[in-house]
Amino acid sequence: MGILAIVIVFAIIAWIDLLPLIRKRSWKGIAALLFFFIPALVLAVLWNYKIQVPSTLLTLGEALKSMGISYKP
Amino acid sequence: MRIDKGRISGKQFMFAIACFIQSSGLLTSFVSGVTKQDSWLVILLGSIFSLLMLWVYRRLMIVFPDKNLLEIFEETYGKVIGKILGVLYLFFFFTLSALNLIDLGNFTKLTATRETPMVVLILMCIVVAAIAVRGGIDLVGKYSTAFSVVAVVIVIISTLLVVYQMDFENFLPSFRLPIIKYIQGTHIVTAIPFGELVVFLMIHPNVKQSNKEITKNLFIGFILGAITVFMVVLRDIAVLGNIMDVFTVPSLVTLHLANFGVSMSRIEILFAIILIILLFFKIVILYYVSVIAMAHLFKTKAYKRLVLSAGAFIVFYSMTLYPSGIAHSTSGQETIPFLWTVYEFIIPLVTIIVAKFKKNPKKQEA
Repeated sequence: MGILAIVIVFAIIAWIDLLPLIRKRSWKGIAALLFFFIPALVLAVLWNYKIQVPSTLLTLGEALKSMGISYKP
Repeated sequence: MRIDKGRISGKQFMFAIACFIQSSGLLTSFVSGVTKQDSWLVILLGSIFSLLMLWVYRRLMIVFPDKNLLEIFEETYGKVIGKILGVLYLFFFFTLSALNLIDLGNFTKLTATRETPMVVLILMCIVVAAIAVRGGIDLVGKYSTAFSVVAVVIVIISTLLVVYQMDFENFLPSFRLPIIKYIQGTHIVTAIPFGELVVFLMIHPNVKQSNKEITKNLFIGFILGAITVFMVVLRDIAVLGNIMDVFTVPSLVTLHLANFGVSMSRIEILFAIILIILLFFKIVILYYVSVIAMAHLFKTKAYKRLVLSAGAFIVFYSMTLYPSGIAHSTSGQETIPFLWTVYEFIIPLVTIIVAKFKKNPKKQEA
Protein backbone atom coordinates (compact mmCIF):
# COMPACT_ATOMS: atom_id res chain seq x y z
CA MET A 1 0.00 0.00 0.00
CA GLY A 2 2.81 2.36 0.97
CA ILE A 3 4.78 1.64 -2.15
CA LEU A 4 1.67 2.25 -4.25
CA ALA A 5 1.21 5.68 -2.63
CA ILE A 6 4.87 6.52 -3.28
CA VAL A 7 4.62 5.50 -6.94
CA ILE A 8 1.42 7.56 -7.37
CA VAL A 9 2.93 10.65 -5.72
CA PHE A 10 6.13 10.51 -7.76
CA ALA A 11 4.16 9.82 -10.94
CA ILE A 12 2.11 12.95 -10.24
CA ILE A 13 5.31 14.98 -9.70
CA ALA A 14 6.72 13.64 -12.97
CA TRP A 15 3.47 14.45 -14.80
CA ILE A 16 3.30 18.01 -13.40
CA ASP A 17 6.96 18.98 -13.73
CA LEU A 18 8.97 16.51 -15.81
CA LEU A 19 6.65 16.24 -18.82
CA PRO A 20 6.56 20.02 -19.50
CA LEU A 21 10.37 20.11 -19.31
CA ILE A 22 10.62 17.21 -21.78
CA ARG A 23 8.17 18.94 -24.14
CA LYS A 24 10.24 22.16 -23.98
CA ARG A 25 13.45 20.07 -24.39
CA SER A 26 14.89 21.92 -21.40
CA TRP A 27 17.74 19.48 -20.77
CA LYS A 28 19.26 21.51 -17.94
CA GLY A 29 15.88 21.66 -16.21
CA ILE A 30 15.43 17.92 -16.66
CA ALA A 31 18.90 17.27 -15.22
CA ALA A 32 18.15 19.51 -12.22
CA LEU A 33 14.81 17.83 -11.60
CA LEU A 34 16.20 14.29 -11.87
CA PHE A 35 19.13 15.21 -9.61
CA PHE A 36 16.68 15.31 -6.69
CA PHE A 37 13.77 13.28 -8.08
CA ILE A 38 15.74 10.02 -8.25
CA PRO A 39 17.34 10.27 -4.76
CA ALA A 40 13.95 11.30 -3.34
CA LEU A 41 12.34 8.22 -4.91
CA VAL A 42 15.12 5.96 -3.62
CA LEU A 43 14.87 7.43 -0.10
CA ALA A 44 11.08 7.07 -0.20
CA VAL A 45 11.28 3.38 -1.14
CA LEU A 46 13.93 2.72 1.53
CA TRP A 47 11.78 4.54 4.10
CA ASN A 48 8.75 2.46 3.10
CA TYR A 49 10.64 -0.78 3.69
CA LYS A 50 12.05 0.64 6.97
CA ILE A 51 15.62 0.35 5.74
CA GLN A 52 17.94 2.59 7.79
CA VAL A 53 19.82 5.16 5.76
CA PRO A 54 23.02 6.51 7.36
CA SER A 55 22.52 10.06 8.56
CA THR A 56 24.78 12.62 6.88
CA LEU A 57 24.84 14.83 9.98
CA LEU A 58 25.64 12.02 12.40
CA THR A 59 28.40 10.82 10.05
CA LEU A 60 29.86 14.33 9.81
CA GLY A 61 29.49 14.67 13.59
CA GLU A 62 31.47 11.46 14.17
CA ALA A 63 34.15 12.70 11.77
CA LEU A 64 34.42 15.97 13.71
CA LYS A 65 34.58 14.12 17.03
CA SER A 66 37.36 11.87 15.73
CA MET A 67 39.33 15.06 14.91
CA GLY A 68 38.63 16.43 18.39
CA ILE A 69 36.37 19.19 17.02
CA SER A 70 33.36 18.96 19.31
CA TYR A 71 32.14 20.00 22.70
CA LYS A 72 32.19 17.38 25.44
CA PRO A 73 28.79 16.28 26.77
CA MET B 1 21.21 35.39 -14.08
CA ARG B 2 18.13 36.44 -12.08
CA ILE B 3 16.15 33.24 -11.76
CA ASP B 4 13.13 34.69 -9.97
CA LYS B 5 12.25 38.17 -11.19
CA GLY B 6 9.99 38.86 -8.21
CA ARG B 7 10.89 41.66 -5.80
CA ILE B 8 10.15 42.41 -2.17
CA SER B 9 10.45 45.68 -0.32
CA GLY B 10 13.12 46.47 2.25
CA LYS B 11 10.51 46.36 5.01
CA GLN B 12 9.36 42.85 3.99
CA PHE B 13 13.01 41.78 3.96
CA MET B 14 13.52 43.21 7.44
CA PHE B 15 10.48 41.42 8.88
CA ALA B 16 11.42 38.20 7.07
CA ILE B 17 14.72 38.29 8.97
CA ALA B 18 12.87 38.95 12.22
CA CYS B 19 10.43 36.04 11.58
CA PHE B 20 13.34 33.75 10.73
CA ILE B 21 14.97 34.38 14.10
CA GLN B 22 11.73 34.44 16.10
CA SER B 23 10.96 30.90 14.93
CA SER B 24 14.03 29.84 16.91
CA GLY B 25 11.98 30.14 20.08
CA LEU B 26 11.62 26.41 19.49
CA LEU B 27 15.35 25.82 19.61
CA THR B 28 16.07 27.39 22.99
CA SER B 29 16.23 23.86 24.48
CA PHE B 30 19.57 23.37 22.66
CA VAL B 31 21.01 26.17 24.75
CA SER B 32 19.07 25.65 27.99
CA GLY B 33 20.40 22.09 28.14
CA VAL B 34 23.94 23.52 28.32
CA THR B 35 23.67 26.78 30.28
CA LYS B 36 20.41 26.27 32.21
CA GLN B 37 19.46 29.42 34.12
CA ASP B 38 22.36 31.39 32.55
CA SER B 39 20.90 30.91 29.05
CA TRP B 40 19.87 34.58 28.96
CA LEU B 41 23.57 35.54 29.09
CA VAL B 42 24.58 33.34 26.16
CA ILE B 43 21.66 34.65 24.08
CA LEU B 44 22.96 38.16 24.77
CA LEU B 45 26.57 37.22 23.99
CA GLY B 46 25.49 35.26 20.91
CA SER B 47 23.58 38.30 19.66
CA ILE B 48 26.67 40.50 20.09
CA PHE B 49 28.96 38.03 18.27
CA SER B 50 26.37 37.60 15.54
CA LEU B 51 26.61 41.31 14.77
CA LEU B 52 30.10 40.54 13.43
CA MET B 53 28.65 37.90 11.11
CA LEU B 54 25.96 40.32 10.03
CA TRP B 55 28.62 42.88 9.18
CA VAL B 56 30.24 40.31 6.83
CA TYR B 57 26.86 39.62 5.18
CA ARG B 58 26.24 43.36 4.87
CA ARG B 59 29.61 43.84 3.14
CA LEU B 60 28.81 41.05 0.70
CA MET B 61 25.38 42.59 -0.05
CA ILE B 62 26.93 46.02 -0.67
CA VAL B 63 29.90 44.82 -2.75
CA PHE B 64 27.70 42.45 -4.82
CA PRO B 65 24.27 44.12 -4.86
CA ASP B 66 22.87 42.14 -7.80
CA LYS B 67 24.40 38.75 -7.10
CA ASN B 68 23.20 35.96 -4.88
CA LEU B 69 25.63 33.95 -2.77
CA LEU B 70 26.39 31.33 -5.41
CA GLU B 71 27.02 34.02 -8.04
CA ILE B 72 29.32 35.79 -5.55
CA PHE B 73 31.35 32.56 -5.16
CA GLU B 74 31.70 32.17 -8.95
CA GLU B 75 32.78 35.76 -9.39
CA THR B 76 35.24 35.66 -6.50
CA TYR B 77 36.77 32.20 -6.80
CA GLY B 78 36.20 31.36 -10.45
CA LYS B 79 33.86 28.81 -12.03
CA VAL B 80 35.37 25.59 -10.61
CA ILE B 81 35.78 26.52 -6.95
CA GLY B 82 32.60 28.59 -7.15
CA LYS B 83 30.65 25.53 -8.31
CA ILE B 84 32.20 23.35 -5.56
CA LEU B 85 31.19 25.89 -2.94
CA GLY B 86 27.78 26.08 -4.57
CA VAL B 87 27.30 22.33 -4.15
CA LEU B 88 28.42 22.55 -0.50
CA TYR B 89 25.90 25.30 0.14
CA LEU B 90 23.20 23.34 -1.69
CA PHE B 91 23.77 20.55 0.87
CA PHE B 92 23.62 23.16 3.65
CA PHE B 93 20.34 24.70 2.45
CA PHE B 94 18.64 21.33 1.94
CA THR B 95 19.86 20.09 5.32
CA LEU B 96 18.57 23.21 7.06
CA SER B 97 15.22 22.81 5.29
CA ALA B 98 14.99 19.16 6.34
CA LEU B 99 16.01 19.90 9.95
CA ASN B 100 13.43 22.63 10.37
CA LEU B 101 10.78 20.49 8.70
CA ILE B 102 11.37 17.67 11.17
CA ASP B 103 11.33 20.21 14.04
CA LEU B 104 7.94 21.43 12.85
CA GLY B 105 6.65 17.88 12.57
CA ASN B 106 7.87 17.00 16.06
CA PHE B 107 6.45 20.17 17.55
CA THR B 108 3.04 19.75 15.88
CA LYS B 109 2.93 16.14 17.05
CA LEU B 110 3.83 17.22 20.59
CA THR B 111 1.27 20.01 20.86
CA ALA B 112 -1.67 19.22 18.63
CA THR B 113 -1.82 15.98 16.63
CA ARG B 114 -0.27 13.26 18.75
CA GLU B 115 -1.69 10.30 16.83
CA THR B 116 -0.94 11.57 13.32
CA PRO B 117 2.09 9.88 11.68
CA MET B 118 5.06 12.21 11.29
CA VAL B 119 5.28 11.71 7.53
CA VAL B 120 1.69 12.95 7.09
CA LEU B 121 2.42 16.13 9.09
CA ILE B 122 5.57 17.01 7.19
CA LEU B 123 3.98 16.13 3.83
CA MET B 124 1.10 18.49 4.55
CA CYS B 125 3.56 21.23 5.48
CA ILE B 126 5.71 20.74 2.39
CA VAL B 127 2.70 20.74 0.04
CA VAL B 128 1.57 24.15 1.34
CA ALA B 129 5.18 25.38 1.34
CA ALA B 130 5.53 24.22 -2.29
CA ILE B 131 2.58 26.43 -3.27
CA ALA B 132 4.28 29.39 -1.58
CA VAL B 133 7.66 28.69 -3.20
CA ARG B 134 6.12 28.30 -6.68
CA GLY B 135 4.52 31.72 -6.07
CA GLY B 136 7.99 33.24 -5.89
CA ILE B 137 9.76 35.54 -3.43
CA ASP B 138 7.02 38.19 -3.53
CA LEU B 139 4.48 35.66 -2.24
CA VAL B 140 6.99 34.29 0.29
CA GLY B 141 7.85 37.73 1.66
CA LYS B 142 4.33 39.18 1.62
CA TYR B 143 3.25 37.96 5.03
CA SER B 144 6.49 38.49 6.94
CA THR B 145 5.35 41.78 8.48
CA ALA B 146 2.08 40.36 9.82
CA PHE B 147 3.69 37.19 11.19
CA SER B 148 6.49 39.08 12.91
CA VAL B 149 4.21 41.66 14.54
CA VAL B 150 1.75 38.98 15.72
CA ALA B 151 4.67 36.99 17.17
CA VAL B 152 5.87 40.01 19.17
CA VAL B 153 2.34 40.73 20.44
CA ILE B 154 1.81 37.12 21.52
CA VAL B 155 5.17 37.00 23.30
CA ILE B 156 4.36 40.23 25.18
CA ILE B 157 0.84 39.10 26.14
CA SER B 158 2.00 35.65 27.19
CA THR B 159 4.79 37.17 29.28
CA LEU B 160 2.35 39.49 31.04
CA LEU B 161 0.03 36.56 31.76
CA VAL B 162 2.75 34.65 33.64
CA VAL B 163 4.19 37.62 35.53
CA TYR B 164 2.67 36.36 38.77
CA GLN B 165 4.50 33.02 38.27
CA MET B 166 7.92 34.65 37.98
CA ASP B 167 10.47 34.35 40.72
CA PHE B 168 13.68 36.21 40.08
CA GLU B 169 15.53 33.86 42.41
CA ASN B 170 15.18 31.35 39.58
CA PHE B 171 18.09 33.17 37.89
CA LEU B 172 20.33 32.02 40.74
CA PRO B 173 22.93 30.67 41.07
CA SER B 174 24.47 32.71 38.28
CA PHE B 175 27.86 32.39 36.59
CA ARG B 176 28.68 29.14 38.40
CA LEU B 177 29.16 26.97 35.32
CA PRO B 178 32.59 26.27 33.80
CA ILE B 179 33.66 28.91 31.25
CA ILE B 180 33.56 26.31 28.46
CA LYS B 181 29.79 25.97 28.92
CA TYR B 182 29.31 29.69 28.28
CA ILE B 183 31.55 29.45 25.21
CA GLN B 184 29.58 26.42 24.03
CA GLY B 185 26.23 28.13 24.64
CA THR B 186 27.32 31.29 22.87
CA HIS B 187 28.62 29.26 19.93
CA ILE B 188 25.34 27.31 19.69
CA VAL B 189 23.26 30.50 19.72
CA THR B 190 25.52 32.21 17.16
CA ALA B 191 25.53 29.21 14.80
CA ILE B 192 22.06 27.77 15.03
CA PRO B 193 19.48 30.50 15.01
CA PHE B 194 21.44 33.65 14.19
CA GLY B 195 24.06 32.42 11.73
CA GLU B 196 21.40 30.81 9.53
CA LEU B 197 20.67 34.34 8.28
CA VAL B 198 23.37 33.56 5.68
CA VAL B 199 20.52 32.17 3.56
CA PHE B 200 19.30 35.75 3.01
CA LEU B 201 22.37 36.28 0.83
CA MET B 202 20.45 34.20 -1.74
CA ILE B 203 17.47 36.56 -1.55
CA HIS B 204 19.01 40.03 -1.31
CA PRO B 205 19.23 40.62 -5.12
CA ASN B 206 15.41 40.44 -5.13
CA VAL B 207 15.05 43.18 -2.52
CA LYS B 208 14.35 46.78 -3.49
CA GLN B 209 16.82 48.57 -1.21
CA SER B 210 19.74 50.97 -1.36
CA ASN B 211 23.07 50.32 0.37
CA LYS B 212 22.01 52.47 3.33
CA GLU B 213 18.76 50.55 3.63
CA ILE B 214 20.61 47.22 3.57
CA THR B 215 22.31 48.12 6.86
CA LYS B 216 19.08 49.35 8.41
CA ASN B 217 16.94 46.39 7.29
CA LEU B 218 19.49 43.74 8.18
CA PHE B 219 20.30 45.03 11.64
CA ILE B 220 16.81 46.13 12.70
CA GLY B 221 15.35 42.80 11.55
CA PHE B 222 18.04 40.95 13.48
CA ILE B 223 17.58 43.05 16.63
CA LEU B 224 13.80 42.60 16.55
CA GLY B 225 14.18 38.82 16.25
CA ALA B 226 16.94 38.60 18.84
CA ILE B 227 14.98 40.67 21.38
CA THR B 228 11.96 38.36 20.96
CA VAL B 229 14.07 35.24 21.57
CA PHE B 230 15.76 36.95 24.53
CA MET B 231 12.38 37.84 26.07
CA VAL B 232 11.17 34.25 25.64
CA VAL B 233 14.26 32.84 27.36
CA LEU B 234 14.14 35.41 30.18
CA ARG B 235 10.47 34.62 30.79
CA ASP B 236 11.09 30.86 30.80
CA ILE B 237 14.01 31.13 33.23
CA ALA B 238 12.02 33.43 35.53
CA VAL B 239 9.17 30.92 35.67
CA LEU B 240 10.95 27.55 35.46
CA GLY B 241 14.45 28.21 36.77
CA ASN B 242 17.06 25.53 36.29
CA ILE B 243 14.53 22.77 35.59
CA MET B 244 13.87 24.30 32.15
CA ASP B 245 16.46 22.00 30.57
CA VAL B 246 14.27 19.02 31.45
CA PHE B 247 11.65 20.10 28.92
CA THR B 248 11.81 19.81 25.13
CA VAL B 249 9.93 23.10 24.69
CA PRO B 250 10.20 25.09 27.95
CA SER B 251 7.91 27.86 26.68
CA LEU B 252 4.97 25.48 26.44
CA VAL B 253 5.41 24.47 30.05
CA THR B 254 5.76 28.11 31.12
CA LEU B 255 2.53 29.12 29.44
CA HIS B 256 0.71 26.03 30.65
CA LEU B 257 1.22 27.41 34.15
CA ALA B 258 -0.83 30.52 33.30
CA ASN B 259 -4.30 29.73 34.54
CA PHE B 260 -7.04 32.29 35.12
CA GLY B 261 -9.97 29.93 35.33
CA VAL B 262 -11.70 27.89 32.64
CA SER B 263 -11.85 30.66 30.02
CA MET B 264 -8.19 31.69 30.31
CA SER B 265 -6.32 28.43 30.66
CA ARG B 266 -4.25 26.43 28.16
CA ILE B 267 -2.95 29.65 26.58
CA GLU B 268 0.12 27.76 25.45
CA ILE B 269 -1.90 26.93 22.34
CA LEU B 270 -1.49 30.60 21.30
CA PHE B 271 2.27 30.24 21.50
CA ALA B 272 2.10 26.88 19.69
CA ILE B 273 0.07 28.37 16.83
CA ILE B 274 2.41 31.32 16.29
CA LEU B 275 5.47 29.09 16.55
CA ILE B 276 4.06 26.73 13.93
CA ILE B 277 3.36 29.73 11.67
CA LEU B 278 6.86 31.17 12.18
CA LEU B 279 8.55 27.81 11.68
CA PHE B 280 6.50 27.25 8.54
CA PHE B 281 7.66 30.65 7.27
CA LYS B 282 11.28 29.71 7.97
CA ILE B 283 10.82 26.41 6.09
CA VAL B 284 9.36 28.28 3.11
CA ILE B 285 12.39 30.63 3.00
CA LEU B 286 14.83 27.71 3.26
CA TYR B 287 12.90 25.66 0.68
CA TYR B 288 12.84 28.66 -1.70
CA VAL B 289 16.57 29.25 -1.27
CA SER B 290 17.30 25.54 -1.86
CA VAL B 291 15.31 25.55 -5.11
CA ILE B 292 16.95 28.77 -6.32
CA ALA B 293 20.39 27.30 -5.53
CA MET B 294 19.45 24.15 -7.49
CA ALA B 295 18.29 26.20 -10.46
CA HIS B 296 21.45 28.32 -10.37
CA LEU B 297 23.82 25.33 -10.26
CA PHE B 298 22.09 23.70 -13.24
CA LYS B 299 21.82 27.06 -15.05
CA THR B 300 18.08 26.79 -15.59
CA LYS B 301 15.45 29.47 -15.08
CA ALA B 302 12.66 26.91 -14.73
CA TYR B 303 12.91 26.89 -10.94
CA LYS B 304 9.15 26.35 -10.52
CA ARG B 305 9.51 22.93 -12.17
CA LEU B 306 12.04 21.91 -9.51
CA VAL B 307 9.87 22.75 -6.51
CA LEU B 308 7.98 19.47 -6.12
CA SER B 309 10.97 17.16 -6.58
CA ALA B 310 13.00 19.31 -4.15
CA GLY B 311 10.11 19.10 -1.68
CA ALA B 312 9.92 15.31 -1.99
CA PHE B 313 13.66 15.10 -1.40
CA ILE B 314 13.45 17.35 1.67
CA VAL B 315 10.64 15.20 3.16
CA PHE B 316 12.46 11.88 2.84
CA TYR B 317 15.88 13.35 3.59
CA SER B 318 14.49 14.76 6.84
CA MET B 319 13.44 11.23 7.89
CA THR B 320 17.08 10.07 7.67
CA LEU B 321 18.72 12.86 9.67
CA TYR B 322 18.26 11.78 13.27
CA PRO B 323 16.88 8.56 14.76
CA SER B 324 15.58 10.39 17.85
CA GLY B 325 15.10 13.77 19.48
CA ILE B 326 17.97 13.06 21.86
CA ALA B 327 20.38 12.42 18.96
CA HIS B 328 19.20 15.70 17.42
CA SER B 329 19.68 17.63 20.63
CA THR B 330 23.12 16.09 21.31
CA SER B 331 24.30 16.82 17.78
CA GLY B 332 23.01 20.38 18.01
CA GLN B 333 24.92 20.95 21.24
CA GLU B 334 28.20 19.19 20.41
CA THR B 335 29.09 19.18 16.71
CA ILE B 336 26.67 21.14 14.54
CA PRO B 337 27.89 24.56 15.74
CA PHE B 338 31.38 23.80 14.37
CA LEU B 339 30.00 22.56 11.05
CA TRP B 340 27.64 25.52 10.63
CA THR B 341 30.36 28.05 11.53
CA VAL B 342 32.20 27.06 8.35
CA TYR B 343 29.16 27.88 6.18
CA GLU B 344 27.94 30.88 8.14
CA PHE B 345 31.13 32.71 9.02
CA ILE B 346 34.39 31.29 7.69
CA ILE B 347 33.49 30.95 4.01
CA PRO B 348 31.64 34.32 3.79
CA LEU B 349 34.52 36.07 5.63
CA VAL B 350 37.16 34.52 3.35
CA THR B 351 35.00 35.46 0.35
CA ILE B 352 34.82 39.15 1.28
CA ILE B 353 38.57 39.23 1.95
CA VAL B 354 39.39 37.56 -1.40
CA ALA B 355 36.91 39.85 -3.19
CA LYS B 356 38.59 42.90 -1.65
CA PHE B 357 42.04 41.72 -2.80
CA LYS B 358 40.72 41.04 -6.30
CA LYS B 359 39.10 44.48 -6.54
CA ASN B 360 42.15 46.36 -5.15
CA PRO B 361 44.49 45.44 -8.05
CA LYS B 362 41.76 46.71 -10.43
CA LYS B 363 41.62 50.05 -8.55
CA GLN B 364 45.43 50.39 -8.78
CA GLU B 365 45.33 49.70 -12.56
CA ALA B 366 42.62 52.34 -12.96
